[in-house]
Amino acid sequence: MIELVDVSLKYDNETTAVDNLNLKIEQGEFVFIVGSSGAGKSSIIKLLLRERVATSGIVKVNGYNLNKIKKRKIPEFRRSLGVVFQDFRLIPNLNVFDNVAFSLRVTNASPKYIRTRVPYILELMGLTDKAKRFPHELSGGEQQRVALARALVNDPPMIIADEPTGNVDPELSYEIVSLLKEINDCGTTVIMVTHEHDIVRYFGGRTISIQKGKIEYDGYLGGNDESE
Amino acid sequence: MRASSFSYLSKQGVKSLWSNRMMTLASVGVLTACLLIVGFAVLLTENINNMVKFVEQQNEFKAFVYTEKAYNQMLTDKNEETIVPSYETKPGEENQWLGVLEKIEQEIKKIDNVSSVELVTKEEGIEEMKKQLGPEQASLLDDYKGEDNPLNDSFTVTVDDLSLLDKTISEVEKIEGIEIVTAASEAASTLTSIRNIINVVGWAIIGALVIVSLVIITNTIRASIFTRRKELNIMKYVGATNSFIRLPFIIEGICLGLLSALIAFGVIWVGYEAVLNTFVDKVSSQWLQEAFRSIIPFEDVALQLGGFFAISSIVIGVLGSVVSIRNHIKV
Repeated sequence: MIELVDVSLKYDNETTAVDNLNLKIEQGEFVFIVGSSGAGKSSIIKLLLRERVATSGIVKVNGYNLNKIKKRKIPEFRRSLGVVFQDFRLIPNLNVFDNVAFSLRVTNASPKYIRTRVPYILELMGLTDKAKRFPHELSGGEQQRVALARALVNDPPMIIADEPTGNVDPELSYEIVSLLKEINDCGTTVIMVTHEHDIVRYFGGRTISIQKGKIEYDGYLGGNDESE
Repeated sequence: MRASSFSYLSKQGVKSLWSNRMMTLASVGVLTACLLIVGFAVLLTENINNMVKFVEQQNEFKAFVYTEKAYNQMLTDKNEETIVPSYETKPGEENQWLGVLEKIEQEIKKIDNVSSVELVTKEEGIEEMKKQLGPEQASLLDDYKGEDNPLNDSFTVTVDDLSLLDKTISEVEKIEGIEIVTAASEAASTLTSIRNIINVVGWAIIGALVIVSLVIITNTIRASIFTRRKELNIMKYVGATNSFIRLPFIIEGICLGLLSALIAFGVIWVGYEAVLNTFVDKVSSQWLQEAFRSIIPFEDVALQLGGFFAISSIVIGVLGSVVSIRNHIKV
């Protein structure tokens, strides 16, 4: 699913953000990527989204070799991922329904499919009654659920969440991660980047700690989540 | 791309025009002004071209014959036998002056470039002047008859090739009996040089305005991109293709261009008609009235001008959008 072999990423050929990294994540895994700010977490995400190309090494995601992928294939590759950001990145002038439908529209989905698929995802996320609301009328937790709904609506095999709990209240953070866990239970690979160690300790599971662009720790932590 | 996606993206483009309405208004205003100037230059060039053609069609000149007295004087100077002037010719006798005129006419006809020759006698000349003076003052010319008619007999000569006009004139001037030749060739060459200047200046103006229009459209689209930068970024992450991202901005550029073209076209139409009607009615000079009649009616250039406006505004709109979006789709 994800395979990084001897991957390095240098900015302006000077700053090394990712240093000779080797990593493999299988289909259906739930992985936390942790590390302090500047450790290289975001750079790894940029490599996985093909926002950046590795200076050296091989980056393979969902069967695409991102070093060799043709430009016209990049949109197709990105449709195989669902992305959630810390700042939600919802479109302010679109309501909840249209924000979620947006992901489908760019894939040329038929209006009929959009009309059935979006309400289904909104129901899964508990957002049915918020469909007509605009982002500014929602709480941080609700906005992040809308962003999750948008990431899920295309039914991607992998979700990449970059600090998804960074802008929500602590109690809502647990709700967001629980939702990601539920999504993972359905077979979707989830990669969550966070610097909140409490959440990692609570939920446990495979955790990769990054420090100075290198893997400092890659192993399984036992969590306190009783629902597991 | 699905029709539904196309319609969705087109709506986004049109919505954006309204969201950035101040910028839209400014660009439509400046673009309209640019198109008005371009339209004015095009119409001016077309009309000058038409006027040159009009003058060129007047490919005739007048060759004035000596008066009978002057002709006889010339013969006397050459020690040749004089003729009996027409006003002294008695009924039944041969009109020798008519014979001279016929001979001159034949000689003019022999010149290669001459297509037709028409005799305008001095009596016809007086009648023409009477007509121009009007019925009230025509009687002033009543005394100019026979020997007292001060006008010359003349020939209206039409040529085939206007470029050989000067040569033809000099050949006519050499014919015995021809006193002077007058032609409109100077007017034609003046108009031709004006047309050439307008052509060069016109194209320079059009070129400069195309660049100005491009800059304006590019800036408007940039403002639009700025307000929608989040949307663009999200589009890339959810797997939108470049054409999907570009389309709303291209539609926006086309709308800006077409809107300006439509306004400019309307203003030019109304303005042109108004100017035409005002001048044609008020100008008293016969020559100017004749010249104004040669002005192209708007209907004749409407399609050409409209097509030019539509195509140039679409091209500028698309180009402006593509240029401004180029740097924003590299995510």
